[in-house]
Amino acid sequence: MLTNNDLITVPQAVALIIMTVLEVGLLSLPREVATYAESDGWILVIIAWLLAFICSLVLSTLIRRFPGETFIEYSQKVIGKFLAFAIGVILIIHFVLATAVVIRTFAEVTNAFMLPNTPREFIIIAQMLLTIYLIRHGIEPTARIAEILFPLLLVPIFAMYMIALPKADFTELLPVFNTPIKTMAVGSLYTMLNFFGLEILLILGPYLKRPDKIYWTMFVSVGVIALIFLFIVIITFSVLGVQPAKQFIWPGMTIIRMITAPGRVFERLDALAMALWTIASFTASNSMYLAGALTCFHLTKAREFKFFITILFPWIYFLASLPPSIIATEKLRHIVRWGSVSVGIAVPVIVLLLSIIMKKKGETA
Amino acid sequence: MTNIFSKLYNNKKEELFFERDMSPDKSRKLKTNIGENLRIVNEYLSDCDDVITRNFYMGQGGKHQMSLMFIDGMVQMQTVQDDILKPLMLFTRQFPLEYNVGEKFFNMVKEGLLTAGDVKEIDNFGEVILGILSGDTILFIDKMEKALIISTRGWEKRGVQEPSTEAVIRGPRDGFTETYRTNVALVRRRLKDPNLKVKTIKLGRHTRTDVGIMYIKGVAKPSIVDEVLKRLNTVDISTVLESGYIEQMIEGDWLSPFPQLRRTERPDVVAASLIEGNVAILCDNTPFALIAPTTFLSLFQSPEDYYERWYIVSMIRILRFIAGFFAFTFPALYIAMTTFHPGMLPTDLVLSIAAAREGVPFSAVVESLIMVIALEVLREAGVRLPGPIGQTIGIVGGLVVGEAAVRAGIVSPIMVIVVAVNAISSFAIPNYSVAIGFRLLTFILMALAGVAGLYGIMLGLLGLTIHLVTLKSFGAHYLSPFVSFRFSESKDTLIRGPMPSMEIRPGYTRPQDLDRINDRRHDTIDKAGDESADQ
Repeated sequence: MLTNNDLITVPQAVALIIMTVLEVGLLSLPREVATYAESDGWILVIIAWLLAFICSLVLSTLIRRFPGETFIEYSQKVIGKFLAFAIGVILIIHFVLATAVVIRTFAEVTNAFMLPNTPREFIIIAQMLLTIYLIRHGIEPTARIAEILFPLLLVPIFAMYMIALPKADFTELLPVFNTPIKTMAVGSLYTMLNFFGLEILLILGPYLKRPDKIYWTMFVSVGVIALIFLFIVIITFSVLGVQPAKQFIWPGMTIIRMITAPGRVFERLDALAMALWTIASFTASNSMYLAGALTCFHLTKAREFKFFITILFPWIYFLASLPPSIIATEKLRHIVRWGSVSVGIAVPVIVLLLSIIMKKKGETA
Repeated sequence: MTNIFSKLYNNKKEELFFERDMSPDKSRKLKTNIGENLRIVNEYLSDCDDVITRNFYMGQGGKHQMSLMFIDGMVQMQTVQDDILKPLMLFTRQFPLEYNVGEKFFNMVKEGLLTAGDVKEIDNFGEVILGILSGDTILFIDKMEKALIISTRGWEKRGVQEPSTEAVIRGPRDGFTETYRTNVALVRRRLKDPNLKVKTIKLGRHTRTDVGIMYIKGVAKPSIVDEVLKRLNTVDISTVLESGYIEQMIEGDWLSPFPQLRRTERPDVVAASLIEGNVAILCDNTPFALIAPTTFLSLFQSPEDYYERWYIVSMIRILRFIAGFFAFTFPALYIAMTTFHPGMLPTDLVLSIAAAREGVPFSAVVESLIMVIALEVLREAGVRLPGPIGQTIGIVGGLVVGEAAVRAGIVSPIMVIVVAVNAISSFAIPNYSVAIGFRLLTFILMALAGVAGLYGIMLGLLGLTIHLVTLKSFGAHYLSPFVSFRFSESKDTLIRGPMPSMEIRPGYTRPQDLDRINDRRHDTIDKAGDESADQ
């Protein structure tokens, strides 16, 4: 089937999921939750955590039910060939869009904070070439990269935010429970969109070494992501204040620009933060791009999946260059998130329910 | 009629046949007539003036014709004279020997007369020629279709000396020499283990170099041993003058700037890695042994890491990694910081850099390139020159030219510091092969930093990470134990844990015997302490 038969181990899967999901929320999450619920924003994160956890349960159950089978294969059994094909096409479009958005956002942030005069196209193409160089090696090396870069990303991020801690004023987190329930509910739904990226598991399911440990894998991944989000929101609110957090487009970055490394080694840490942001964006685009190519591969039942990497390249580049401005990019990102909810939650729920009703199972389950 | 034809056939000069590996045909058996044998051997070795043929007779009245062949300078003349010629000629002179007793006579010579240590029978020209060329002595006996090969190898060689490239402060001072057997013995002396296996093959069509594989049976994973043997056997190369030839022929990815086999001059390093389940490849004519599989981490280790106390070693290891990082990023970081991100540095530093760069005609990229290239030239010149002059080059190049260049305003003083830090850092990497790989990466990163600043450096570093993550050395991940990380292996990575706590051997070789230390030490020490307290 695949040229590279290596499978993803549990720690690799955890690292891959966390790195994929993290990129999206890392910079803009504090702004969003502040807009919805002011100082109650951190509660939104906790509720979104629960929602994302339920979503991950659905995905895990599907993978347990059909071990070793691709999503396309078992959805064909459950909802018929035509519908499964349609969903497959939608999945491909979704992943291509997601990759484009991740790469475009990266180019925007890089242009804004690090390289104001460098053409955006250069950054987009450089980033895409790097991604292609990696994912051509296959699935397991992609997961291995995530595993290696995981501590390299998280430890400095924690360290940087910890440096900001002395400036924190935790009264900014008060008052608590001041938001109406309805706003809260809508807000948490929107916050849950920040967990988009979980749907790569639909595609990576058959490549897990231990599908029996999928619940544990998902539980740890979603938990760690939520804790990181919580940490970032609380630090941003308490250091920056809730109102300013609403106004900056990437408040996470603003904090890092505010702080100075101890001993004044570096005047500002934003270049260092950009280096980390490169890592985060790189891993996210890896898994999205890989998922897109793999979906093509599953859908066409071709012999070789590397071929699809090349096919997807011009489309991703085109879509990444499409939005005329940052605002348009953010809008596109929003569309992708809704797409993620529909293919990441709605479709799996339907497939799962139908498979339970029709009593269809994988051969080995 | 047939008689005539056969005579014609016999008179026709037989053509010499060489196999593809330049050795004479092994299927060609020795003749009964000693004159015929000598003629054929001399045909093979025609125009080889260093081959010496010594014809003599033995026994009372000199009935038995014999002949010795060896190469001058490759045999121990002492052995040839005292253990071959003397017993055969001198001691048998008084005894009336029966004429032409064939096998019995041959065995008497082999088992009763020759006092040399290692004597074997051979029956074909291939082995005869190879034996002569390897420094053995061949004894031809008339009327016999066999000859005796007597191991008399011995030539002028360098003694066991302290290795110059891997000096340690604490640790054994003996290093490998150019002689294969000496090297094997140096390792064997450290591992008196019957499971230490040595397999020797010959590589190189012209050089026919002895190449040996050493491993410990029951520790090394058989598949790794097989893989090494398989790759060695596929090597078809004309010359093997140094283990570097073999290294480059059997490594998996020859596009990589990183060595996939670790090379060492130290027998203690070989012994230590054999115990960890590695396979060592020893090559004749070079003091450098190869160790496979290897990891990125092991290239940053020095044997001293295990001889000193663990606090110190851990600190030194971390320093080495910092140095290793600076060894290929420092000029690139300077370019990125000064050209693209001056805002990241402290204001005072930016001001002083700007002040120092005032009047420098070139951009930071060109300035760095000039200095780094100048440094590479200096390094290369220093290596080629003999010791005392090499130091002069360092002083002239480093101090005089550097100082003059700064005074003349061609480069800024900060650039000199950057390049100096870069060079010193690269010298802190224990493995020379990695250090030169990093030199190359310096240039690539400088170019990337010149194009896209810090983002360019990140691109380079991520690309490098991808390459390292996908690189494998004989089936072992190059970046292990960091890929598929296991906590139990973390004690011998960036730091080195206390010796009693390192209970298992590293897992990248998948050794069959994982135990390193069975920690009963504390029990015995505690008991001893208790007992002495009781008394």
